[in-house]
Amino acid sequence: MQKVYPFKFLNSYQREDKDFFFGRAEEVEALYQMSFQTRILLVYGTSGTGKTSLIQCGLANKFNSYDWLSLSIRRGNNLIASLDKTLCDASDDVFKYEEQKYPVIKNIGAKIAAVYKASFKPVYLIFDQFEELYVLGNKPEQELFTTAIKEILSVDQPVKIILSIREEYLGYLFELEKEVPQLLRKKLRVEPMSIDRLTHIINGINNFALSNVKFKTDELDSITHGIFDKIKGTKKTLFIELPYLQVFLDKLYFETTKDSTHQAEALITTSVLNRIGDIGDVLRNFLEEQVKCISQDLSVKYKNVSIEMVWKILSPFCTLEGTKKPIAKSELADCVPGIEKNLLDEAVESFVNSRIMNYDETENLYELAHDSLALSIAAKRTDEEIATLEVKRLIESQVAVKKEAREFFTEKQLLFIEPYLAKFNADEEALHWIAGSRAFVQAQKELEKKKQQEELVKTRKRLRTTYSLLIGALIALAIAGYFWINSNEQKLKAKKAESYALVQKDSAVAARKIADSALNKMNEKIAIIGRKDFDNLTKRTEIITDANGCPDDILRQMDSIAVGHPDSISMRQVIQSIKAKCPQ
Amino acid sequence: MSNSTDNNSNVLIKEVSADTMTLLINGTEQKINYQLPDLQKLMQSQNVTNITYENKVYNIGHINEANFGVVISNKIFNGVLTKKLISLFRQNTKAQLFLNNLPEEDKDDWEGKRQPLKEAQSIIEEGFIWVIGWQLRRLFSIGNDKEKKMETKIDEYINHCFSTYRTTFQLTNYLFISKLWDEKTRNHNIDTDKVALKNFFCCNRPLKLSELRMLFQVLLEIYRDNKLAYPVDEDELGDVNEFLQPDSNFNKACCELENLEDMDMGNEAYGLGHCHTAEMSLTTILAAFKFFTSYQLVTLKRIEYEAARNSAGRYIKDLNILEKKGDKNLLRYLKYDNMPTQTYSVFFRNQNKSINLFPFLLDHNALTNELDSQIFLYECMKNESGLRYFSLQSENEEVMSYSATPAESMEVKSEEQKNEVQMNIRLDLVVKQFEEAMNTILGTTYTFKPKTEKLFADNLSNL
Repeated sequence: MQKVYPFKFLNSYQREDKDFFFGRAEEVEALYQMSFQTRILLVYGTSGTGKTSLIQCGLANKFNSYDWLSLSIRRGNNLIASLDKTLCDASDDVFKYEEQKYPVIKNIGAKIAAVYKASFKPVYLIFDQFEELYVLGNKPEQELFTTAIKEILSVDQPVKIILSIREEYLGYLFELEKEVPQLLRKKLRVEPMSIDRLTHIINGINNFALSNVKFKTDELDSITHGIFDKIKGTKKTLFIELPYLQVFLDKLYFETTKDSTHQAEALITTSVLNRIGDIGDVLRNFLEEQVKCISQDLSVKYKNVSIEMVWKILSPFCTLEGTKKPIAKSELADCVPGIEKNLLDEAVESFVNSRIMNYDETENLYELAHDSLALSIAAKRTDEEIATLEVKRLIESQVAVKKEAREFFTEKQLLFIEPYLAKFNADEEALHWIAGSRAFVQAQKELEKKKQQEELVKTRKRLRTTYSLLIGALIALAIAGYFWINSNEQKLKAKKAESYALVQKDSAVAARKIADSALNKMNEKIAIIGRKDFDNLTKRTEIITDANGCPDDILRQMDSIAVGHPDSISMRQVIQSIKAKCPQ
Repeated sequence: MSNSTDNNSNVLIKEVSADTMTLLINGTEQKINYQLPDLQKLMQSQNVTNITYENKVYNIGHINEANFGVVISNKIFNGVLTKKLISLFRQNTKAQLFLNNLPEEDKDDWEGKRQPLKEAQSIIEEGFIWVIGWQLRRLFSIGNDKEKKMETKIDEYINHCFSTYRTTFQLTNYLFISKLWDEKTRNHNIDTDKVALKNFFCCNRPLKLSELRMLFQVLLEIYRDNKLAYPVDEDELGDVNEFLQPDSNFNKACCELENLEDMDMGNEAYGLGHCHTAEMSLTTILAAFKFFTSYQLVTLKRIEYEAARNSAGRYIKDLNILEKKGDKNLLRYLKYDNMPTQTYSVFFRNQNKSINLFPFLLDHNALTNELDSQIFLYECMKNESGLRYFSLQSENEEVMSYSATPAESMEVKSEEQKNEVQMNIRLDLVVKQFEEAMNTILGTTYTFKPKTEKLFADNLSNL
C-alpha cells in the first residue's frame, strides 16, 4: 500500500484519518462513554487543542458506521438557517430547504425523524465553533437556537447534540443553560498538548507502518523534547499549542525532504531538528512568510500589490475578536472596496494553495485554516481597520433584526459610522437603514427645535407674569416699609409713654402704701376700741343672763361690732354662748 | 429483467424468465432451465466458481435451494425481511395505512423500491420491542448504505443477522428464566436440572447461537412438563411444537444461521448468497416471535418514597419507556401510586402482563445515576466475582464485578461519597440478584467472591 503523509497541518482530523490520530485515547473514551449517558454533550478547550479532531476523528471512529450519522453544523451566516439547511439536505428529499431573510426553523421534530429514517442511524448534531453564535450572532438568533435545542431534546428519535466551544466563551452559555439545565452535566475539557501526549504522537507515527515520516528510533526521546522545547521557546509552560506543533512538524518534514508534495519518505533526526535553530513564533512566521510570497507572486501581474494589501485582503476572514470567519468570494469584494475582483480571486486561491485557507465546496465559503491564524491576522490590523470592522458589525447586527423590531441608529452611532462608510460596501438595506436613521435623527432634531421654541414662548410669557408680580410685590414692599417705619415711631412713643406710666404707677403705689399704712393704723385703733366696747357689753349681758333675761339689744350691738372686726370669730363664739344662756 | 453487458471470465446471468436463464459465458450466450442443479452443473463444467448477476458476484457454493430464488430475483438487502415482517403488523394502523396506500402497480414488489421499503422498515423498527427494533435498525442501516464496500456490507449484514438472532433468543430466555425463578421460589419441586440452564448461569463464555436456541427449547419443555403458565399467553406464543420439532421451518432457519456462524472464517469468506440465506432465516425466526410486537420495555430509573403524618405513604416511580411512542413523544413517565415495586427493574410488559427481567436485562444508566438508557444483556459469568454483559448501544462487552460494598448504616462525608457508595451497592445488587436466581433455579449455594484489588489483597499477614 502507498505510504501516507501523517501530518494534517492546520486541518482537523476526520473519520478516515484514524490510522494516524494518536495521543487522545483517554479523552475519546471519556467522550464516547458520555455519549451514552446524555443527549447533550459539551466539548470545550482553548483554541488549537484539537476539539474538532477529537469529535470528527476520535469519537466518530469509536462508533460503527451504522451507529453514527454526524451532521456537522457551522454558523455560516445564521445558525438557525444552517441547522435547517443541514436537516433538510439530510432528509432524503422529504424536506426542501427554503432560504429565509429572517430564518426560523419549523417542523424540527419531523425533520429529525426524516433524517433518521433516511439512514436508520442515530443522529449526532455537532455544532462546531459554537462560539460563533455569540461572537457573530445576534440576540434573536441566540434565542431561536435555544428554542431549537429544547425541541430537539424532546424529540423521540435517537438524536444527540454535541456543542464544541472555545473555553473562553463558556460564560456565554449562561442563558442557554438556564433553559437547558442538563447542558453542563456532561462536558469534556480537551487538554492542551503536553510532553507526554507529544511522546504518544511521535511513537504512534513511528509505529504506523504506512507513515512516510519516521523519527530516528534511538533519538526518539531527544527529538520529542527538542520539538517541545523549540515550540515552547522561552515561555514557562507545560503545554504547547497543537497548530504550532502541526506547522512545526510540517516544517521539519520539509527541512528533511525539501518535498512540498509530501510524497518523499523522511527520517527525522536530532541533527535536522538542531539545523532549524531558534524558531520564535512558528505560526506567525509561517503566516508572514506566506503573505510575503503571495504578495511577491501577485505583484508580477498586479503592480500595486503590497504586503499590506495582502494583509488587508486577509482581514475580513477573521472577526474583531480574532476568530476565523467564513466568507464567500463575493462578500470579500464588499469588505475591501477598491481592489479589483481578479486580484481578490487570485489572492484567495493563493491562500488556499499555501494552506492558510480552506474552501468549503458545499457552502461555497472560504475560511482560515485555524483560529490561531486569525489571531495573528487580527494583530496586524490598523486602528482604522478595527474601527471599520466595528462599524460593519454595528450595522450588520442592527440590520439583522426584523424591521418591526429594529431600532434606528442614534446620532452618536451615525457620527461613528459615517467616516468609515466608504471603507467597505455596505449592502442596500444597510444603506437604506442608515439613510432612514439620518432622516429619523433629523426629524427628531426638528421636533426638538420646535419644542424648544414653544418652550421659549412659554418661558417668556411666564417671565412677563413673573415681572408683573415682582413689581406688585415691590410696591407692596414699599408700602409695607412705610408702615413699618411709621409703626416703629409709634412704638417708640408708646415705649416713652409706657416708661412715664410706669413712673406714675410707682408713685401711685408708694402713695397707696402710705395710705394703706395709715388705714391699717386706723383700723387697729378702731379694733382696739371695738374690742373694748365688745368686752364691756359682754359684762353687761352676764348680768342680764344671770337674771334669766335675754339681752337682745346688747347682742345686736355686739353683733354689729363683730362684723368686720379682726377678732370676729372669737366674738361670734362669745355671742353664741350668751345666746345659749338665754331662756327659750 | 435488466441486462448486464460486462463480459469477464465469470459466468454472467444475462436474463431470467419464469422457466429459463440466459447466461453469458466468455461472450457466448447459453440458455438453461431455471433450476439450481442445472446452473451448478454448468458452472462445474466450466470450472468456475463465481457467477455475476446485476453487478453482484455470487459464489456458486453459497447458493442453495433456499436462497436461489432470492439471488435470481435480485432482491435488495432487507427486501424479504421487510416484506414478511410488515405482515406481522396487520393490526397496526400505520402498517395498514402503508399497505393500503401502496400504488396498485407496486403492490407485489414494493420492497424493491426505496421509499416504500424505508417506510415499512420504519414501522417495523418502531413496532418491535426496543432491543430487537434496535438490532433491526442496524440491519436496515447496513442494507440501505450505498457507500459501503460490498464485502464490508456483506460481513456487517451477516454479523448483525447473528446479533439480532442472539438478542431475540436472549430476550426470550430472560423472559422464561425470570418467570421460572418466581415459580421455583414457590415450588422447589420443579425439575430444572438441565445442562442448558447450567450453561446459562455458569458458563465463562457467551453462549453460541445454537446453545441459546437449545436453552429456549429446554425452557419450553420445563414449562410444558410442569404445566406452568408461559410468560406470554399461549395464543401469543404460537405453536410450541414449531419451536421444539427439529424439522420445523423455525428450527431449519435457526440451523442455517448457526451454520453460518460456525463457518471457518480463516479459510472462507461470506458472500452475497450467505447474506440472502441469513436474511431469509432471520425473517423466519422473527416471524415466529410475533409476540415481540405487542410488548414494550420500560426501565424503572428510580423510585422514591414519601409519606406525611396521618396519610398513606406513596411511591414515585420514574419510568423510562424505550419504545417510540409516535407523535406522543412519551419518553419518561412519573407515576405516583401506593404499590411498592422492585427498584432498577426492566419490565417486559403490555397492558395485561409485566415481567421484571432484572438482573438479566438491565439499564446501566439507572444504576449509575445517569440520564438516558443504556441496555445491558447478560452474557456469561466472569470468573468468580462478576458477570459479563453486552451493551446493546455500544456493542461492547462490559463486566460487572461484585465488590461486596457494605450495605449498612454509615457515615458519609460528601455527596460524592454517598453517590459512589450507593452506586456500588446497586452494582453489587446485580450480582447478588443473579446469584439468588441461579441458586433458586439450579438448587445450588454458590456465592460470588468480591473482586479485590491486589493492594488490598495483601493483608500484611507476613509481618
